Amino acid sequence: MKCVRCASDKVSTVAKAPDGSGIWEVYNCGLCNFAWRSTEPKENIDPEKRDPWFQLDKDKVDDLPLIVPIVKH
Amino acid sequence: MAYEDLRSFLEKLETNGQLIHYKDPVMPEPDIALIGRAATDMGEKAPAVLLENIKGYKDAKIALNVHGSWANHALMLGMDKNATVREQFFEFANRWDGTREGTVEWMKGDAPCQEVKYTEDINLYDIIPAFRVNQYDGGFYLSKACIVTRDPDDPDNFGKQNVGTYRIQLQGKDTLGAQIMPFHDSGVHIVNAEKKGINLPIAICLGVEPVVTVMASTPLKYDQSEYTFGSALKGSPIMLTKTLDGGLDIPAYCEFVIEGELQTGTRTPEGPFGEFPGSYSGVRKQFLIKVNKVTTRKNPIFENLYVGRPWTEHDTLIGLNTSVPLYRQLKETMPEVQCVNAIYQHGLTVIISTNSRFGGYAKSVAFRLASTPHGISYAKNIILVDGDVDPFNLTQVMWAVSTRVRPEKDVIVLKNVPGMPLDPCSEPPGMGGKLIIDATTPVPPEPVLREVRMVDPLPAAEGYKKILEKMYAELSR
Repeated sequence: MKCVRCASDKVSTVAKAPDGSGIWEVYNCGLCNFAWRSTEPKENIDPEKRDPWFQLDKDKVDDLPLIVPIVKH
Repeated sequence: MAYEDLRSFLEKLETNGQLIHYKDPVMPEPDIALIGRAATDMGEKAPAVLLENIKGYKDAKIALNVHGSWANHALMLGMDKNATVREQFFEFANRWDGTREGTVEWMKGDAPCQEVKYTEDINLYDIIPAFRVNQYDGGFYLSKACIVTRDPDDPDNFGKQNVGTYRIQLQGKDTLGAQIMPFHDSGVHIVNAEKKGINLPIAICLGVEPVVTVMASTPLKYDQSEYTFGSALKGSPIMLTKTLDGGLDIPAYCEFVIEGELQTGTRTPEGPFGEFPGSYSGVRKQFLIKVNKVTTRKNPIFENLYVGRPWTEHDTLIGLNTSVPLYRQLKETMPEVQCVNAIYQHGLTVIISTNSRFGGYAKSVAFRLASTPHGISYAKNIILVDGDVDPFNLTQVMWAVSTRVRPEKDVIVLKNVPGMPLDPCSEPPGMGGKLIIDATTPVPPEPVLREVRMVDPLPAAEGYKKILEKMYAELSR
């Protein structure tokens, strides 16, 4: 499975419906940290239907700007 | 004030007709955010909503819109739910004058917030019924958390311990992203820890009693405790306990406590999130938290905030705690200031009612506002009205603007001054302009060009208003 936002393959299943119903699963991208549930509307979780403005390039995730620069010890 | 925790406040809301139990099944997405949106759209008397049947979770409950209307806010202050915003403003200002402190107590024995303990194999997604707030948020957010940290340079100082509300993103099973700015008190703690090369212990409290949540989003001084000021606002002590790790004080009756360490020397991708101006923030590298324990009450209630296109609960939550400190700071040197309305997007627009000591005085009030700690970057649009105009009554404010403003004399635009980065107009982010509109009546030495008298207000009509309101209420019985 690929991340629906950055298309990396570092996706893991982080949860299955705790009531045991199997109604949904939650996935998390280990690269860009996007998380989504399998039952969300397509506009949220289908890369083809998501607003391109909110998509990320997996090769540029490392280059995201820092809000607070790291203070050297 | 007869509540000590979120649960008893929900009971109080219910007693006053301000709580809806939503028992029909809902999907986490998109239903929960839609219900949050709908509740906040119900106006000045919008109720809180308790969702009791969320598909996929067993026995989960989610509380929305707890602070989401002026009626609920009045009940939090122990006032009648029909109290006006102006009445609530003065009650808030009188109870919390910036000097009085309340009291805290530590619970003897086991605290309710630690009835259930998770200490290994933690999976936040199993424990917390989190959901997507806005469609393009980067994940599921804790948008109404009270986050507790201590200053590693002065770890025993209770006053410097901070309780703040910052957005928290669920990431891995036991990791979180956090947006905390350097100018936040917790930001100071993080930078101090990073300089020492140590991680920072952190507790994230959910479902906290309502006054503490209000104080967590109030700009207090660095060494002032949100707990003691919350107690001053509430009028009774705040009950605390220690985290399992022992280093932090947390509200004993809250619903969830996530304990962990903020990791220094590293950052993690976080965002976007639909923020309070009604726009999405970007994806940035922000702080990473590693969770090591979670404690909860039995059958905990997850309280979260719908924030998005205003007006939302966020605006009500921080409306008066933004207005009152500005009022206090202005009043210190300008006693002519009568009232401050800064409820619009955390004070991006501020309306001040003031008397004028001499000609042009109201503009000086605007300059003073623009140099307060909050006003420097937030107060972008500043409207001045006379002291007898209620700044919370927009009909009166628009009357003042319509009949007092001479564009060539009373409108000032300041260019290239500090701005608020989350304001989508701020360009570059963190800079912008300021607009001052002086809608006060000119006073000497400025001549009034035309001899005009305004119709006086009629304070004596207030008594009849109360009589008519009582008669009106009896009509519907």
